Amino acid sequence: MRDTAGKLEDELTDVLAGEIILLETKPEETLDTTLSSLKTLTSGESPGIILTSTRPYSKLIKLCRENNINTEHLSFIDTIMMSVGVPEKNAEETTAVIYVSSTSALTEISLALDKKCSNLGEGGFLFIDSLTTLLIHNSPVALTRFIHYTLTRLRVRDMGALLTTMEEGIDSKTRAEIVTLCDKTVIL
Amino acid sequence: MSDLHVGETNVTELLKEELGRREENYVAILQVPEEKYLQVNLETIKTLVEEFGYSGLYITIQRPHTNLMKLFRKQGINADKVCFIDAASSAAEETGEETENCTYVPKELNINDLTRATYRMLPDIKGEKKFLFLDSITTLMLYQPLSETLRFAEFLTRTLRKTDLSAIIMNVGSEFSKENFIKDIVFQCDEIIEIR
Repeated sequence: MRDTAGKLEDELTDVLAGEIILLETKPEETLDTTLSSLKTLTSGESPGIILTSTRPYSKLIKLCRENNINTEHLSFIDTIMMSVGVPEKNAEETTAVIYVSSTSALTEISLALDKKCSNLGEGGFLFIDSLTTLLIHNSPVALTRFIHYTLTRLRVRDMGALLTTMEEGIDSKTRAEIVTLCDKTVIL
Repeated sequence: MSDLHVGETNVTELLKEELGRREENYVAILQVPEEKYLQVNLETIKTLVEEFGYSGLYITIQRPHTNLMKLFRKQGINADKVCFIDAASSAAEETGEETENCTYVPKELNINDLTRATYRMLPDIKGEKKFLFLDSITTLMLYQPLSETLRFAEFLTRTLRKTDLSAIIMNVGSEFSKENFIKDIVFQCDEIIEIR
């Protein structure tokens, strides 16, 4: 795992202080950036929620452990397992993870986020991996409304967020609107 | 606090010049690069309130007013001089209690409700020089069809122009500036303040 997060140290501190940041990466650096960002964000005791639409929870938790990322204060919302037809009994909800029926079930994802946020206590952060994948399964307007809704609810709770997307992974108009909804945009 | 720069433009000086040369009763579009959107918005409000002594109404569709008030305090903007229509919290079903300086609208962001809320809040703007700031017209389009969004823009540019508001300012990201509906709105404004 390369230390891409070293370049992002100030921004990751801002996320933990309640700011909302959009992070654009090159496609080949996405995984490294995800893992090194998570490592930095979890180095303190801030609780975090990972919304994953790129990798299933089982794979992501394995990668976290392999890279010595502290998962003690992390919980997950997995939008993939059930959408690819994994039998429901294998996708049981635990305290660590909520499985959502599909990456296009934005209302269900919102409800899962609400549930996770209410268990979080003070502060905390949301990590969304990734907007590019969410856009494959949702219309630009639906996704932007979801992001607007989610970020507003985070701001009311003083929670920060790191939203990841691939360089040129979303159309320019959708990108423009989402950039304005965030406090800062970082292009790696 | 140091001046805000975007590229080679000293935005702080530009805003002082552009907002200062108009005495009263104008409608302007503020065209902003998306990556500097928040900073330019804050600098605009700071210029109006702290430099020129305006009080105002901030119609916020982008972010909750509680977040804006924190940002105002960080930037040294007197938040007591601004009241809010918090449509962002309304859309996210996170409304609080209405206060003297903040009102909400139903979550659908219906234009009639926004219009009524605007009329309701206008008398609460204290002071001689008054502004209205809309953030943002493109976020409103996530919730309302184009025709309704344009109807609200027209309400701002035509109807409210006849009130005692000195300045009505709408912001738009640069990416949207070439869209036909934005050009329609620009046509009804007195000026475009372009930040590049």
